[in-house]
Amino acid sequence: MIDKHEVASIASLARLQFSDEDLTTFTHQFGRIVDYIGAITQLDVAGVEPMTHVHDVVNVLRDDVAGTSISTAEALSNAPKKNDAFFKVPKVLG
Amino acid sequence: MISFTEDRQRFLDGSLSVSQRVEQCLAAIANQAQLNAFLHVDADGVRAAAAASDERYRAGLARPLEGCILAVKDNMSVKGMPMTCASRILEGFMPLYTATAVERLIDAGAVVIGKTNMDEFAMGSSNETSAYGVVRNPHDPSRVPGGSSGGSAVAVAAGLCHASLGSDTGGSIRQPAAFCGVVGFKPTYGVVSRYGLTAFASSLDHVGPFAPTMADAQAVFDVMAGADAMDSTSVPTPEAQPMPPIDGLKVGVLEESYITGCDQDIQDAYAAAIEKLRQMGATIVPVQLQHEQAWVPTYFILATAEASSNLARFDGVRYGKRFESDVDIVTETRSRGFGTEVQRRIMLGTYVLSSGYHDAYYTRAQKARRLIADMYNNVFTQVDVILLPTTPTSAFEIGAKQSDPVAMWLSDYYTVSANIAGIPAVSVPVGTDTAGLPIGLQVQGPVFADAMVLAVAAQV
Repeated sequence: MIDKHEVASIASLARLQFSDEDLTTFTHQFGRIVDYIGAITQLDVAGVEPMTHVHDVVNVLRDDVAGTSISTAEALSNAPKKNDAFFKVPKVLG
Repeated sequence: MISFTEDRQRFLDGSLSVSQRVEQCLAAIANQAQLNAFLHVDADGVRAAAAASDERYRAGLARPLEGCILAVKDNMSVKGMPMTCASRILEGFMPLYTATAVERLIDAGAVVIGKTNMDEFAMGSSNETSAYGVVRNPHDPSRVPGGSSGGSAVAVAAGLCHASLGSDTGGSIRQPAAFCGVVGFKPTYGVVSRYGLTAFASSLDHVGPFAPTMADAQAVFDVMAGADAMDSTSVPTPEAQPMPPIDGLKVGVLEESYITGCDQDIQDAYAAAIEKLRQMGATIVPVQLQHEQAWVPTYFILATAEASSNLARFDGVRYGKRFESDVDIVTETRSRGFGTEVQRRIMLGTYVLSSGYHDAYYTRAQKARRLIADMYNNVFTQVDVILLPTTPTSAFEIGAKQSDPVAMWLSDYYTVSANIAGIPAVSVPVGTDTAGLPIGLQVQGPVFADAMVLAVAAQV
């Protein structure tokens, strides 16, 4: 059975944080969900190749020709914060 | 509901103008604001486009979809209109380009009236996870419209547009189509480009139309279909095969054990549709769709795994809304910007991909996926198409399943397998139950048999 500690560590991997109360609710729901998807462990898949894609396409390449792309100004137009040609974020290294 | 193929005759003979129809739709959207179907209405833009369409009709230059009033699910980019994916995290986001599917429709004459409400990031089966409020079913406003493309289904059902676009990752077009009494079509995987569709689970995501009739859905689909250099998973439209007559067509039907979980009225509608096809000369063949206990678990493992990866891009740095924090803007933004269902699915996806569980869940689900796809390939050596219910129940009450995620997920039981295998599937309305709520039935066919699936569904 999945416990609260394990759910908290998954949250940290996913860059999410929850209040203690939400974490308790989540842990309860998570247990039920994991039980449910666990049905898949009953399936006999011996010798079956994993399927990653519907169609048998492998590499889809195009000619190496330069095309038009978005401008720096457009790329920055949705940024919450920007500075000159850069996305602006709080200082990460001390 | 308003049919474009019928209106087109009026536009051509001059008895109705596109501008008049657009004004009626704008008035209907305002009058039915309580349905909450739209997140953005572009009144000025659609009026200008309608005037241009009217000019083309007058000049004899009308294109195939000239004046088709189109609503677009708010997870598809339309340049000049905000896109939120019904999430706080994309508040204020303005797309830089228009999705290929929408672009092709505009190039064929469609006029975009606005963006429709949906479950947040298309994660939900009831349209209750939208950050902008629940969408209401026009047949009974106390009930859900289905999801995740609830707003698009309602926009067609309530006559707010001619046709709309949705996305379908596990049933998100077909299930709301069934709940709202409209046609909803999920084509073969890759036949409609996803360039400009916000990725949820890339190996399962499809774009498709909602419309009042099969002919309308076909008209929209025909224009959207075809390979796109901007989507490397897109595939060329298959050569149209001559449609075999219903007389002699082999229609696979589910054995009783698969449908005992359905409402009685849906079981009755299913039996009636089978009888109708039989009387038209179809050969009815009972089929076994194996591994059915694994359909929904396989779907949820793959979909959440892909979602946890796809939604990693929402970090509050490059676009969307940032929630400031002295400690960590990424965690703060994702914790406050995403709603509960989206967080739940990111968590589940992170779990099934994490070390120690990857092989037990994710790799095993990929193997189950092949078993399910092989199962369909085998069934389609015996039958041309399969007829099945779209949903086990008609539209449920708002709030009825919100506290139990697994119960909500099970409303996708009949739809997810078509996404797993990538096969075309359409939901067609077949009347109402004793409570007056719409019932939809589903026709599925082999990969690339899109035209046949639509042709058979038109007869159901």
